[in-house]
Amino acid sequence: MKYLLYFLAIFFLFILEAGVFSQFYFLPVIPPLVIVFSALLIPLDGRQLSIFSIIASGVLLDFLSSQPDGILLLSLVIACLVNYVLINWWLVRDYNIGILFISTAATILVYFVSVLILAKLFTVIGIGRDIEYGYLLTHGLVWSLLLGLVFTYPVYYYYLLLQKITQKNWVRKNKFA
Amino acid sequence: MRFIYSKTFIRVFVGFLLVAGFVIFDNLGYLGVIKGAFFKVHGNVSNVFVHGTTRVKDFVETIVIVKNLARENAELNQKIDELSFENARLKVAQQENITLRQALKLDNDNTYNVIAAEVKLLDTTGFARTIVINKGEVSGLRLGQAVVVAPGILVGKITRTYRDTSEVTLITDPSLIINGEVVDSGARGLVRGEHGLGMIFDLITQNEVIKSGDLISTSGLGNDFPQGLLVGEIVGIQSSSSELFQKAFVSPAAELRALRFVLVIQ
Repeated sequence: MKYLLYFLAIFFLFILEAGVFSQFYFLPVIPPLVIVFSALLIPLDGRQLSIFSIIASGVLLDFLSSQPDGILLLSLVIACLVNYVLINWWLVRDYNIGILFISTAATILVYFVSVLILAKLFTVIGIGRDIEYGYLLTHGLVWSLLLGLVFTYPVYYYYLLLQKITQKNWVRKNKFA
Repeated sequence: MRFIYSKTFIRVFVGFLLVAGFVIFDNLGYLGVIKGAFFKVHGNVSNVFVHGTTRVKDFVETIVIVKNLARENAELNQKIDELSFENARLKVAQQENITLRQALKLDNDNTYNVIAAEVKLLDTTGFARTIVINKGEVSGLRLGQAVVVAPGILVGKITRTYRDTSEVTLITDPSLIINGEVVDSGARGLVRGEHGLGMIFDLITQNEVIKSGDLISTSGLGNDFPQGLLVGEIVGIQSSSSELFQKAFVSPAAELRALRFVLVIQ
């Protein structure tokens, strides 16, 4: 049941991106809510649910994207792995709110760079499609990073709401309360 | 214990095998049914939110721009008069064209067979400019077919088909290249998407005369798109006597961010 609720929560974030934020034409890019949610699961949630959620997010991102399937999934998995190493091996174990923002920033950065590298690799072997690497690196990455950081706190509260729905004793697990 | 026998390595290896399987199955087309179902559900639910957001946006925009309405109304009325005159002139020209074609026994090939489709969703990942429409192989759609909005404005090309849905790459995507020509002067070049917002009309020889406001249409060369589909309007020119070619910046004629219904040319 918990897995289904997490899947629906991720699906709803996709709906928000496509149904609401895509209509705000003044935004240079659509806020990467799903990437932010995946990034926040690393410091906040258990391993199994995080792995399931990250893989589900990656698969749905691949379905939505016109890039060959596998690029976005692999990039998201790599980004979350790097995030996991960053948080558990290098950062302090006393949780503070800054870790959420660092987690988001690191995940988005590694995710973007991974997508560009894998897209280039797939293009070289003949199954990819052309994208504007320079423009995405300078414009797309910067704006995705900025908007991701802006939406980190709202997505964090969205996660807390999800915890309320899925767990009875969510207060004890909430390290940032 | 060796790392390759550890649980971590086995998990990572199995993970990469699953991803490889995912890539292979997608390339072989086995994921089409799952994708089609996802597109339908996602499209239907997100369209509800799109309608709601659009209504709120229109309400806010109306309040913001109400003071400019009188001026815009006058400008639009003048534009209507100009276009009505142009329309009447073009109708006369069209009739002359039909008469001459009949006299020379040329076929009139300006009519297209089209299939109407609804836009279900757009690519929100930010790495490409594509939309998904609700018609697929079952409806007769094939790879490479041109997609337009009435009355003949080019929107994109079908780049992937599934059973009940199809993926359309928009003209602002850098992977799509269109053989274009200026409607008035006939200058030819290649139109390519740039930054997902506009297009570049490139490889125009220096002796060709182009100016801002010129309309670009498909030239029909290369048989990639039917001839005569409107692509966009030139909004800026970059030309230097030291370069072999000049280029122009093109604004798409269609409102690509607000597509709801499209036509696929058979």
